[in-house]
Amino acid sequence: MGAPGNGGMSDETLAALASGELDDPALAAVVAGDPELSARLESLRGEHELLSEFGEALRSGHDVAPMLDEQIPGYRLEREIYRGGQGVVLAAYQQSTKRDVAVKLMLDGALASETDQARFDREVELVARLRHPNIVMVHESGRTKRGRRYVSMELIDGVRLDEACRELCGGGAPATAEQAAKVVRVFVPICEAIAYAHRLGVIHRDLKPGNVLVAGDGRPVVLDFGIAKIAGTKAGTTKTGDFVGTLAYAAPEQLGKTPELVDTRADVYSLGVMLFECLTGRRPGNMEGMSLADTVRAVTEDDAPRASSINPAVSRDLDAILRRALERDPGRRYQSAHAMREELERALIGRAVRAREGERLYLATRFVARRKAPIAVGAALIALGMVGAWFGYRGSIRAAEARGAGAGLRLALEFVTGYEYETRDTAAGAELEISDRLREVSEQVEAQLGAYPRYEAPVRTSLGLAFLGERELEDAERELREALRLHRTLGGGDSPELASAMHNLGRALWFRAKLEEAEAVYRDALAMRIRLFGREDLDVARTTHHLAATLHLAGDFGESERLWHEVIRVRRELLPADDADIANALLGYGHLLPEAGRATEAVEPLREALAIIRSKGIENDWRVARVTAELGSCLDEIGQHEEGERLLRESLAIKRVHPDRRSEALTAFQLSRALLAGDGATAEGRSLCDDALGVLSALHEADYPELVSGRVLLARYMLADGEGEGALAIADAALPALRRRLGGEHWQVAEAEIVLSESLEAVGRSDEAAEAARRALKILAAQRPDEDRLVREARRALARSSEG
Amino acid sequence: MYDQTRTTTALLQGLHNVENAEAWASFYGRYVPILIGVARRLGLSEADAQDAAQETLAAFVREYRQNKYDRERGRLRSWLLTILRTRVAQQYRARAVRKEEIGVTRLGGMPDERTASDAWEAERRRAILLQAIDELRKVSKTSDQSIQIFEMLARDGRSAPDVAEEMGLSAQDVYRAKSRVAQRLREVVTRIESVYDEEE
Repeated sequence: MGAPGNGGMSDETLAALASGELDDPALAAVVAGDPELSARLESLRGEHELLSEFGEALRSGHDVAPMLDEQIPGYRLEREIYRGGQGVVLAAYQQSTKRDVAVKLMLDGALASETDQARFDREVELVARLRHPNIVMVHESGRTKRGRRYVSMELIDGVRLDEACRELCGGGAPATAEQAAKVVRVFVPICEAIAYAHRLGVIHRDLKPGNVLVAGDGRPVVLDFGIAKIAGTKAGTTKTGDFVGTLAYAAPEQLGKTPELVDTRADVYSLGVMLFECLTGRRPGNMEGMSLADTVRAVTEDDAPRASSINPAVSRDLDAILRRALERDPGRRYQSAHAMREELERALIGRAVRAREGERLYLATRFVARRKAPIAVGAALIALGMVGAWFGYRGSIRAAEARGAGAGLRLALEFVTGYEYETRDTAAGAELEISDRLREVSEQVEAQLGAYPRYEAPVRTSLGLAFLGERELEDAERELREALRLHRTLGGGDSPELASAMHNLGRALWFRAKLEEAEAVYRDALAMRIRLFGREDLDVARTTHHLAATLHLAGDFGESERLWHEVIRVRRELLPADDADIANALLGYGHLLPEAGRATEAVEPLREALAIIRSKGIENDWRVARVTAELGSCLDEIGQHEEGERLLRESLAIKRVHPDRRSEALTAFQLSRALLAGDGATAEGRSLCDDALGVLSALHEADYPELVSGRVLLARYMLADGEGEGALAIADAALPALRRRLGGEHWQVAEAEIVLSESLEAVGRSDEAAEAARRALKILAAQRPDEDRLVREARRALARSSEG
Repeated sequence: MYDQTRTTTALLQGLHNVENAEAWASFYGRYVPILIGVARRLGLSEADAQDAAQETLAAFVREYRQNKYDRERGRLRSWLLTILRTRVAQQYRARAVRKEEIGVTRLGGMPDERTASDAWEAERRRAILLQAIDELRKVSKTSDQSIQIFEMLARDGRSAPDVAEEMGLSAQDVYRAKSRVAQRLREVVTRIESVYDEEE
C-alpha cells in the first residue's frame, strides 16, 4: 500500500480506497480533508464503477456459451429458465426419480476462490436440510462433466412475488385496504418460511422479489437460500445492473464495513423492503436512476418514508410494521422473521401491533376496539364524560349520568360498532378518519377514566402486559402495579381478576429480579387462586410454576422442588401427557436439581421434556435449545461428556441463530465448562468463555452472578494454562461479589473457593489454599452428596494443598 | 457498422419507407442483439433466441407499416417485448409438445413482463457498453495498449500492479491508461445512450 506522504497520496492507495479494497478511516479522513484528493477519489470511484460494468459486459459475452451443452449424469437438461449474474437455471428431468427439476449452473468466476467453493458446498448442505412448503426444496449439488458446479432443486412454476402482488391488486399497487390485506396474506407464509430457515441456522442474505415465486395455487416459494450471496461476494461489491437491483433490498449493515456481522435481522429488513414495494409500487429508497454510489448512500443513510404517504390504502398499522422492519439499526428491528409474521397477522385481524406500542393512546384505542362488548359500558361512560365536557356540563358525575345516559350510551355503541364495521369493509380513507376519532376519545380515556377504576384497571393491565411482551420492564411494572392498586380499591375480597393482577405484577417483578417482592405477590395470588378454584386448576398450576421458579432463583431449593412436583402433578392430571406446559414444568424441575448437586436425577425429566417438545415436530427452536443446554450440562456433570458436549453444541448452534445474545452466552459458558471437564483446557473452550464474558459484560453490571461465575470459569482455564496470578486475582474478586448476590452458602461460592484454593496453591500459598478448600467443603457438605463433582474437586484441592 | 447517430425516433420514421433499407438495417442492428440477449435470458437456446429476435422484429415492422404502432399504447420497448414474449411462450409450448411425446408433463407459461423488462434493461446496457468498447477499438485515437490494459483490468479482474508487471510498465502508467480509457468510454457511452431517446 502506498503510504500517504506529506499530504500526497499514491494513485494506488486512492484506487484501493475507491474500489473499497482498502477501508481505512484514517486515510479516508485525510482524503476528506483535502478537496483535491476528494475530487480525485470521486473520479476514481466513477472509473471503478465503469470498469466493473464493462468487466461484466465483456465477461457475460463469454459466458453466453450454451449451458444446455453441459452434461450431468442422471439428468436430461431441457431448457434455460433464467440467466442471471451468477448462474443459469435450467429446467431438467431427473431420470432416477422421474421428476422435473430446476438445475442452477454456476457461471465461471462466480465461485472464484477455493474458500468460496467450500462455503458454497457447506451452504448447499445446510439448505438441503430445509423442508418447508414455502421454501424451494434443494435436492443435491455436484459438478457437471466439465466440472461446472450445479445445484438441483424443485422446479416451481410461478411468477415473481411483485408481479403476483400486482395481479392480486388488479395490476398495480393495492387501491383498497382489502387489496393491501391480500398482499399481506402472501407475506405471512414468506415470513414464516424465513423464520423456519433461521431456526435451522440458514440466513438467506439475498431476499428480493425475484427470489420469491408465487405458484399457481397462491403458494409463495422462496428460492436461492444462502447460495446467492456466497457466489460473487467478492465480485458482488463492484457489480452494477443485477447488483443494484439486489442492493435495494439489502439491509444497511450488509453494505457497511462489517458485512460479516450480518445476521438473521438482515433478512427481516429485506422482507420489509419487499413488502413496502408490494404495497406502494416503489421501494422505500426509490433507487431508480441512481448511480451505484448514490444507491449505497441512500441505503446506508436515508430513512424510509411512510408507506401510507405514497399509498393511502396502507393502514397505519402496516406503516408502523414497515417502519419497524426497516429500522437502520438491527437492534431496533423485529428481532425475528417470526415476530414480523405475528405482527402482520395482528394487523390482519385488527389487533394491536407491537410496533405501535410506544404510542400509548394507540393501545387504548385498540383495547377499546377489541374488547368492544365488555368495554361498551365503559366507553359509554367515557363518551358521557365527553358529552358532558363538550356541552359544558361540569356538575357531579351522578348528575351527568342521569342527564345524558341514554344519548351517551348510544353514541358509545355507535362508535364501537361503527369502528368494527369500518375496519372490516371500507377503504383506508374511512378507516383513518375513524381511528383519528378513536384517538381523540382515547385521550379522554386518560383524563376521564381516573374516576372509574373498574374500567381503568383492565386498560392498565392491557398496557402493562403489552410492555412486558416488549420487555419494557419499568413501564410494565408501573402499569401492572397501578392495575393491582385499582383492583384493590374496588374492594369485594377475592376475585379472579384481583388474583390475575397479582400474578401479572409478579411476572414484571420477576423479570426485574425483585425476587423478594415477586415471591410475596405470587404467594398472595396463589393463596387466592386456591381459595377460588381449588388445587386442581391450571391457573393455580401457573402461579405455582412461577413461584417455584422464583424460589429456585432465590436459592430456596427445598420448597422450589416441592412446588415443581405439585405443578407437574396437577398438569399431568388435567392435560394430555404431551402438553407443552408439562414439558415446561419438567424443564424447570430439571433445571433446579443440578444446582442442588443432583444432576443424575435431572436427566430423566429433561429427557422427557425434550421428547415432548420433539413429539410436536419442533426441532432447532429455542425451546429445544433450552432443554438441550440443560440436559447437556447435566450429562457432562455426571461424566457423560460425549453426549453432553454434543447436546450443548446443538443448543449453541440453535441459539446462535436467535438474536438472544445473553442466552447464547450462557450456553457458551456451559459448553466451555463441559469442554474443560471433558477434554481439558482447549483453546476452543477458553475462547468460548472469553467471548461469552464479552457479551455478558456489555449486558450486565459487573457483579451479576452469571457474569462472575463466568469469570471463575475463565480462572480455571488460566490455571490450566499456568496463569496462576491472574486466576488468583479473579477468584479473589469473585468471592465477595458472589457472597453479596447469592449469600454465603451458595454452591457457586463454594466453586469460587475451590478455584481460589487452586490459584493460591499455584502461587505457592498452600496454607491459605487449604483454608479456602475447607471453606468450600463446609458449604458443600450440607447440600451435596459425596460423589458430587464439586465435592470431589474440593477434596482434591484440600489434599493437594495439605501435601504442599 | 450500422448507424449509431440517429435517434430511435428518427429510425422509426425511416422505417415507414419500404425502400429505406438503411433505416431497416440500422434498426435491426440496434435491436436484434438486445432481443437475442433477452430471449437467451428468458431461457431460449442461442439458435431459438436468434429466430425469436428476427421474427419479433419482422412482426414489428409489419405492424408498424400498417400503422398499428401507437405511441399512446406503450413505447417501442414494451411493444417489442410483448411480441417477443409471445414468441418465447411459443417456444416453451413447442418444447412441451416434444416433451409430452416422451411422457413428461409440461411446465412454464408466458415469461412475465417484469423479468422481460429487467432483461431488456440489462441487455441494452450491455449492448451499449460493448458497442462503446468496439468503437474505441476501431475508430478512436486511443492506443491499443491502453485498451488492452483496460480489458485486462475490467474483463480479467486483474490488479494494476499485476498488469504493470506483465506489460513492463509502471503502476502509474497503468493507472493513467485506465483513466484515459475510462474517460473516453464514458463519452462514447453517453453519446450512444442519447440515441435511445424517449421513443423507446
